Amino acid sequence: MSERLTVAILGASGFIGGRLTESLFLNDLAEVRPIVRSFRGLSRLSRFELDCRIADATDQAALAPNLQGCEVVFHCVVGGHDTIMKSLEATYRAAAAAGVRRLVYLSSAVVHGHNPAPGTTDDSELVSAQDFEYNVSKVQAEHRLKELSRDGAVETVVLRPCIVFGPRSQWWTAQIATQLLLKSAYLVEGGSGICNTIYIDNLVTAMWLAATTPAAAGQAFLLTDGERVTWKDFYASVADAVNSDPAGIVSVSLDDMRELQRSALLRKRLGKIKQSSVSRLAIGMMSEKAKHVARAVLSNPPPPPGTPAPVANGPTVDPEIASLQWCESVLPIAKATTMLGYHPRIGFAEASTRTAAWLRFALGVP
Amino acid sequence: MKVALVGCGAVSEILYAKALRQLEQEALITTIAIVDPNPSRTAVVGASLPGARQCATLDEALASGPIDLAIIAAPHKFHADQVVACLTASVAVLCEKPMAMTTAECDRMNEAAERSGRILAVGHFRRFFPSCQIIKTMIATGALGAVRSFRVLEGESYSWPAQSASFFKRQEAGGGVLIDAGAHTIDLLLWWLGDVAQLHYQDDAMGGVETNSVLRLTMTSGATGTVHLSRDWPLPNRYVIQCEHGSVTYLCDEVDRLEWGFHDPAYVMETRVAAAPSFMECFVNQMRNVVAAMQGREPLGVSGVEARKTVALIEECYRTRTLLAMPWLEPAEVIRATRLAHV
Repeated sequence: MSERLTVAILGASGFIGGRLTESLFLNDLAEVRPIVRSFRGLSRLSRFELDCRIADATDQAALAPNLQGCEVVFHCVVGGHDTIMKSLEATYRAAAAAGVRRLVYLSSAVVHGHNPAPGTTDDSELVSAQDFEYNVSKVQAEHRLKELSRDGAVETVVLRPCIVFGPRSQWWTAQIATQLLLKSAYLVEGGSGICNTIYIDNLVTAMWLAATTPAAAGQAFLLTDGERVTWKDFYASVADAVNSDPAGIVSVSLDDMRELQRSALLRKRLGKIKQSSVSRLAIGMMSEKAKHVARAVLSNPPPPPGTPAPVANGPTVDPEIASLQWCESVLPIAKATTMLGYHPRIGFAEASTRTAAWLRFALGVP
Repeated sequence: MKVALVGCGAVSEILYAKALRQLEQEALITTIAIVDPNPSRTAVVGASLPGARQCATLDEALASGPIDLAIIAAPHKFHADQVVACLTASVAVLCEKPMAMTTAECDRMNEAAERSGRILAVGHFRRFFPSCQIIKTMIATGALGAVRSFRVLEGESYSWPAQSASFFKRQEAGGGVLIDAGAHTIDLLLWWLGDVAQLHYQDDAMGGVETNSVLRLTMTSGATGTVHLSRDWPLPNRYVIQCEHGSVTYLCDEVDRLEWGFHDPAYVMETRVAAAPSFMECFVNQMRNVVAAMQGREPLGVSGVEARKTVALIEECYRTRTLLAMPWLEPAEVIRATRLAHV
């Protein structure tokens, strides 16, 4: 596949779609057509002179004309259950109508659960019965995509990254920094669980390979950095970036985490929890919190390393995050390596250094 | 007093329509025309101002009858021509910030104001916040001693409900975050701290408009400081001004709160202004000031001559800009970014 591609990126104003746009453009790999839902979504993209389009990703009729002339569509849309399902359906059908050759769908490793069974591979059966709405939605979306693609109108490639971090990651970078600075960070069992990280630039590399590797059609791929990184390692890297002492992170026992999950699930069944916190945060609810934290950072510069962390009331433990932190498996990337030629270029240490540089800039930490 | 509102974007819908309605209730003005080429936008804004005629062009509004004051809230690229057209027709103007995209445009606008003898006001309405006025007085009176340094961090993930792409195109907006939200920031700094002796400016525009700006300033007073603006990512939204004996902090868009204190004892006081007007009331006060100035009852808050200083500084920033360091990018990306940044 040597011709220069025109690619559409849905969800281009977000963390992953935005970096994909930036990377493809700055590396001059493709003609990039970002598609965002509203004018305000153009803000970050407007640093470049691009053929940006406005269309609702859940609206097939609005999407189709904007996909005309594109060989590949990347679906990086973030949202709750309805958005996940509707945007997938609309994108597939619009891509088919527009003659798009391939759809690269950004799913998630959570389709295998937060703590995948030993031996889980890319081709293991997806775990439909899960406690968290986001995970179930992603499983349903993959099943739906499989059904849709039976007509053969559009090639599909499904990517399942796990913990995506790096510059402009709200949840897995900025929010952790925030919790560290506010002394409200916690780790299950001291962070000994496996954090299957993937640095954003490694993911973007894999996305491009998924778009351009003929044999990838119809396949799904687990994606990580290919290193064994624990949650303790991960939090320590962010702590280092913002001069916070990781020793102050509260450890939550596995028993407490399970009890928390049980009570959260009970509340959910009683109708008190409509949507998980991760999903809400992912759809952009973090702004005010981040502002608050940034203010706190500026008002109260981080204490020097070694200063005991004050934990007056203890952290508020999110059952979904806690559950994610108890993973016992290093997810495999053998299939991506073999079929896509995916080799993570940026190791965890270098990724952490780059992330730290951005984080200090973004939080206004001198 | 007969008023026309030109441009029916988000600022007109959210702020000007409400402010005009308030002033109508006070019998200070009558809104007789609203202008926008997009009829769906005049319909939206017109819903709040049912007595106003909905016009597609400024010419149509000017021809429809006498107008005393025009509020220009169209995309930046139209400011100069529309302001000059109004002033030439002997209509006073309140122009939304930034006053214009260049100083050449500002000069044209100020000359038109001079010729017509009509008022040209510019919408730097933060000057009407009690918090900002108190800081102005603290600095002017030397209450905390001379200003030594300042650090400004203002930004958010862009959330303004823009009704067109004009904010994101250099030809239409003149730039990105610096000329948009930054126009308020620069205006406050110049108002509080006086003129700039030296500047060093960087941003992240790579063929488009910037979403992050970093400006280092040395004022003629000798005070030095940095300004970081963003519409990419939330920043602390604080202006910390360090003076000889203490510091004072402006909290963005907090009209009635500020923080200040002495270096010794090193406590910070969180001060709330008693009986302060609300954010919206401050916006209305800006318009009341324009009306009062037109009637000769008050001096004008922010004139075109005053606002030109902000445009001049922004223009100098863009003239001398270099690419912001972004060490999180790949080396090859930095090379292309640098090339794109200087096209």
